Amino acid sequence: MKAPPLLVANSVAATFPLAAAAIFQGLRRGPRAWILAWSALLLAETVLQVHLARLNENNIWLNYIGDPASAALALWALAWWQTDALAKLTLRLAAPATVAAYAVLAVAFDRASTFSRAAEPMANLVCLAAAAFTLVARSRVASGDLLRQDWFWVSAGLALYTAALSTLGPASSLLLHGNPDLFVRVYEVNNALQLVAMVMIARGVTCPAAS
Amino acid sequence: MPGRELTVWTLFLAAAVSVVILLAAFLAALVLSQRRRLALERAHTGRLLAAQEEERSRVARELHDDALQQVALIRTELDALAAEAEPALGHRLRGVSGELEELGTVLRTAARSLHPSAVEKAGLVRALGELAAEFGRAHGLEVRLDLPPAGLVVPPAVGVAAYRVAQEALRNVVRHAGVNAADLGLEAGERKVTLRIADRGRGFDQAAPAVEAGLGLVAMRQRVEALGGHFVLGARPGGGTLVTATLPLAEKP
Repeated sequence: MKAPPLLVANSVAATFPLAAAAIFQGLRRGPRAWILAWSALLLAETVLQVHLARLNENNIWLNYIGDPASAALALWALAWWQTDALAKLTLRLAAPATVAAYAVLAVAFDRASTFSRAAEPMANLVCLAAAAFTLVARSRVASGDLLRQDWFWVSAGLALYTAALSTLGPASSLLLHGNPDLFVRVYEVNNALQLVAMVMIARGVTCPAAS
Repeated sequence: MPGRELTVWTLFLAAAVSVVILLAAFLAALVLSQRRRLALERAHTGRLLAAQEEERSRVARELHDDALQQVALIRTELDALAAEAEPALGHRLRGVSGELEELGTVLRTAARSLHPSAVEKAGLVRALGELAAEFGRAHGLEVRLDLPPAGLVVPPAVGVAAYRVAQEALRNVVRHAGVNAADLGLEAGERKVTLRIADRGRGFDQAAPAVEAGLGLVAMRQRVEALGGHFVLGARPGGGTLVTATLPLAEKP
């Protein structure tokens, strides 16, 4: 079966921030480095999932490893951008706490052979809240143009990415066996949103402003 | 159950569209409210700076018109007394008169430092030239000038801001750069003037805490941004410092 163009495009979307960092020398210590680690993890997960799909093997179980790890990396990166010490500490503690909560919810409510209905939405909603908080907290004290700030684009991209993912798991698990056509459409919509999110994150990596 | 699946799809699509709309509205609101806040802050800073300049100008005028005139008057009377007095007393009176002359110089320098009236009277270019000469006299700093013709006309607030930035940047060279030469350049365009002050001194780490406050950079930045200009500081340890202030020639209403 030929893969839909949006699926192909989304598969390479994780490379956007990495490519942007390589071209614009955006790799620095701190939050950008963690966001690039997050992108690299997504890329590795995608490559492995494509490989397993080609072998006609179930690749959904990889989500249960990649999702909590990527949520932790995203929270850790966002913690670097906090100006308030308490907010920084809260997000740093939220990273391992989210992984722990993910494990509990996955064991209690999800099955490794199909899409997550509880653990993945929870982790994505936590990241969405953290990204939205970062946007509000930083913009209240920012003195430069927001559109030239790395934290603005990365937080906005993460918000879109995690908001899109938070409904994907439940919808996918409900449609996977009942209506494959709608299942593919759900993925196409999600891929389009994730593509835009990755472009936003890559834009953040190219920003000249130091964090 | 096709109806249930269609509902799931519809709900998912509605959620996706809502996310896009809400996020776009949220980001737009953040950008717009931050721009409004910055504009208010800059306007407030502008008013504060204008009031400060006005007050400094008043004090400088009083120094120049009252204090200096009285010093001059007292000196004239002392010199007249010295001419008529016995030699020993005349010598002492002339000594006091000399001290009064020094006091006059101090007051004149303080008045000039309080308000750069030269910017209004002789124009920005000449005032910068005088400022450079003053730093040469007072601190032994050689200021290499690259200025446009003296006839350049700029709005008073822009002239005072440019002068103040140059003054503060040159003061930083004297205090921190560890060199005895600096470059002062002014470039005039149709809509803006660009002021550059550079040195090849020891520079500093811009990421170091308290650097902004310690070097008067906040005041320079605020002064420039209050007029809608841009302030850029380039510095690195051992690599010198470059201060660039770009000011619009049309004053903000």
